[in-house]
Amino acid sequence: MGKGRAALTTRGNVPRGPQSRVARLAMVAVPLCFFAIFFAYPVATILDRGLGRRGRHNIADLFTDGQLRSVLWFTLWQAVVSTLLTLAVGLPAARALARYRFTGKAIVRALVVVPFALPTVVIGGAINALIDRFGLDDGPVRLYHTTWAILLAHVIFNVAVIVRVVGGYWALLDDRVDESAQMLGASRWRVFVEIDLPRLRPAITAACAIVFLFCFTSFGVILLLGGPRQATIESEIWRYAVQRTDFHTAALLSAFQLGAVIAMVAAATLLERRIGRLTGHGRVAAPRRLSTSRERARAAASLAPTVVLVALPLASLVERSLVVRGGHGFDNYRALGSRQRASSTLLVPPIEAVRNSLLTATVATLIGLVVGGLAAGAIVYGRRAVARVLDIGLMLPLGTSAVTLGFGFLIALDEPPLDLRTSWILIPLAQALVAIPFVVRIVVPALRSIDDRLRDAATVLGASPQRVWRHVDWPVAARAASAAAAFAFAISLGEFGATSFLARPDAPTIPIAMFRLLSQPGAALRGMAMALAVILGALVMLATLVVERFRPRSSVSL
Amino acid sequence: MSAAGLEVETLRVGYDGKIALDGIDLAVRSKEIVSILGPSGCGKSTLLRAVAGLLRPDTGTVRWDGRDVTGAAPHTRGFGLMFQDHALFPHRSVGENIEFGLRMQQQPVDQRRRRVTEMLELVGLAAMGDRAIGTLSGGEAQRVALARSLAPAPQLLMLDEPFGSLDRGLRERLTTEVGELLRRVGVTAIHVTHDQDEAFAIADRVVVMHAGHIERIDTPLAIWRDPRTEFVARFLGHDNIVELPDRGRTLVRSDAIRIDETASTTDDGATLTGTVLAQRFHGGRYVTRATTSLGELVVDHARAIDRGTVIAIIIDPELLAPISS
Repeated sequence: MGKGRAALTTRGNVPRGPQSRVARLAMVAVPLCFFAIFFAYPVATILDRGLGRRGRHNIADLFTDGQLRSVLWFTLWQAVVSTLLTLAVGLPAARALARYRFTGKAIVRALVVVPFALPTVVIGGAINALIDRFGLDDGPVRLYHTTWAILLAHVIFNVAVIVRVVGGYWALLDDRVDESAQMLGASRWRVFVEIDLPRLRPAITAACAIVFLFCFTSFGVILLLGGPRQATIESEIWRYAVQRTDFHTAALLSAFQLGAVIAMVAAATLLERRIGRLTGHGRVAAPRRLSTSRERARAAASLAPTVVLVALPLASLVERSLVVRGGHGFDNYRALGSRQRASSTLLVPPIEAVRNSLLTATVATLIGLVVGGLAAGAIVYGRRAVARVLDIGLMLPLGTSAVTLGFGFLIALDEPPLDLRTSWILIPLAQALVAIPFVVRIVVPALRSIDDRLRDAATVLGASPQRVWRHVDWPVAARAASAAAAFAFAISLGEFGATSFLARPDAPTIPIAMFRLLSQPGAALRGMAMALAVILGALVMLATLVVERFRPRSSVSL
Repeated sequence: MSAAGLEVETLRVGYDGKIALDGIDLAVRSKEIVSILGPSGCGKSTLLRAVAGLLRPDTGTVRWDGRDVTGAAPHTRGFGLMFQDHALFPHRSVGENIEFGLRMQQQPVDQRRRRVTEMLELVGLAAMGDRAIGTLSGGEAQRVALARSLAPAPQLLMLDEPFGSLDRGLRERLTTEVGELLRRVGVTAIHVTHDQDEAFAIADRVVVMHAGHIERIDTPLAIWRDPRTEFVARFLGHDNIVELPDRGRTLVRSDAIRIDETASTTDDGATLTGTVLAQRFHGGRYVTRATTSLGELVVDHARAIDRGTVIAIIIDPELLAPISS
């Protein structure tokens, strides 16, 4: 936040926002330039080149070619079904966490969020491990390479969004309104349908929009768990671009996906605004202790699907990483340091991936904090039109095809003045693009939560604008920024899609190394991948715990 | 034992390791209005929630017309409950709020519509059925909440601090109005409040609660005249509890004590000498604090008296009430 801090220092007499023209310009210009150079330009380039070339398919094929149509159809329906399943699993847990107090609640809350912060590759790996453990790929129930495995992974990955966004909102709703309905003769179920659902609608729609977006552009999960018949637009872009070198079709699919995502992001942003507007009437109910055994049983049943779905794969991941020939041990972890064991698929000992990951994640976090912090300033203090453009624009990288982004970087940034093709900085830059939306979402509500009267009070007490900033705005911003830093760190640690195009063979990050290890047959390689996943999970959990520690108290956001 | 109305027997509720209700016995007859009066935290709302079924008691029974409903779900009891902060459904109109309970009873549409109109007229909000909840004033919201809880014709209506969130003038007006309305409708009602004036204005009988148990059940007048315990006396706003040599601890009610500016200021059997400490003007009367040989006493008087003036205080021995320790 180094630059952001200087830029946000006020110089005028009005305590709200920076008055210096340089500061105001920097807040708007830096994020816009970053977005233009590292997102719009590469994406436009790849789309332009791709669409200009001749390929197997043209635009009409999107709607006529049977195979492409089935990809579009699968992408859509798996996203819809994944979202609905996630909602069904997450809603009861959201209610239990919002309404009740019980021992272990903090652990459940933290546990639920872990998969969301873990890269999709790890979730995929965890489900692989689960399938492995229970022998589900060759028994009567087959999960491996099925749609079920994909849906399951999406639920596990996204359930945190439902639990956190909807649960946070639910906790703000007055529970006496529910009790009134009950006293008027409504059964538990009717209270839920007639009273809770309508009141929760803004939170549910916003959360579902996010989940839908993640599932719609799912890549890592599809690549790891999907078979030939489970392809999303995203994974098809990858297949056309990488395996068939048909850039025209890849670009076509990319453009289509980007258009769909822009529409959905705009809708989600609008819906999310409504969340903020609708909160806060009536009394906020304090979570109640579970009193009767029936109530306890009901709460346990509400939490069970979420907890089991989240805990089981994580536990099996740990277990699989400890499996060695003839028992359990740390061989897989020890093997990470050797070059030979994985030489068929990796040029370096896998442990180097950990170092690479930590390094790139640190740089990506710094970039994300500077650009995201400035953007947050522009959104809070700047003109409404600018704020809206940044708000929606900075969300787009989340929903943009990783292939488009990765290839765009390689093609667009390979000639002077910006020749970065061989530079390792490409990876943190791409990861920062994904982390920035989260930084913005954490810092903006914190800055907005500062009561202007506090600034006025400080000014009246004789504080100069600089000191007002330092004593009023900065402590709040710094708290949010540290939470944002941990989030950005976790996200770039786990980023898989774009990184998979930019990582040099001799410098893989953890998710890349995992993917390579898993793509080759052999129990030893698989064991090492699991060990890497556990290390990554531990690193992310560390970052997540820091997020939990610094999370702004009243925020309803992620 | 089977009787019409509500019977609560040896009800006990523990909450977070503390005892919220300890052995409550209470009977409310059909069409009777009972006020439960007590300071915050005395367990009065907990008692209401236990009767409503929103809270499961540890031990004890709740019976309605002789039928045990202790384990019944709240929505099957046919009781109504109205909260202090109204708890209206924010996503439904005034009319839809009132209609909700009727829909739950699966009444036909035209019957529901008639009943909603009838209820709106009853609470003086005719033609406001289409209004959004957010546009209502505090008093209007209160009336809607009342209409909503009365619409399904509950066997027992419970009101939890119904006027707590209103300003004083409105509260007094609504208290009278609601009391009359409840009697006109002829509903059995339990009303919870921490305000003795409100309880006295509405109730046939008042239940005074203290620290999870019932201190006293009686008519408003009987309780006011003879509170019996110091807690009840203090809670009802009585100021003068003194130690009399021949009677022991005694309550001197405000109607039993007066200042006589014409009487001589010598201490004899009938009068008491005091020195004015302070006076507070309280709309038409002066609340006067004076020191006497019995301790500090509070006496209402019609005129202002200078501080330090020696006055004669007359106590009517017929109206004294003993206080048990």
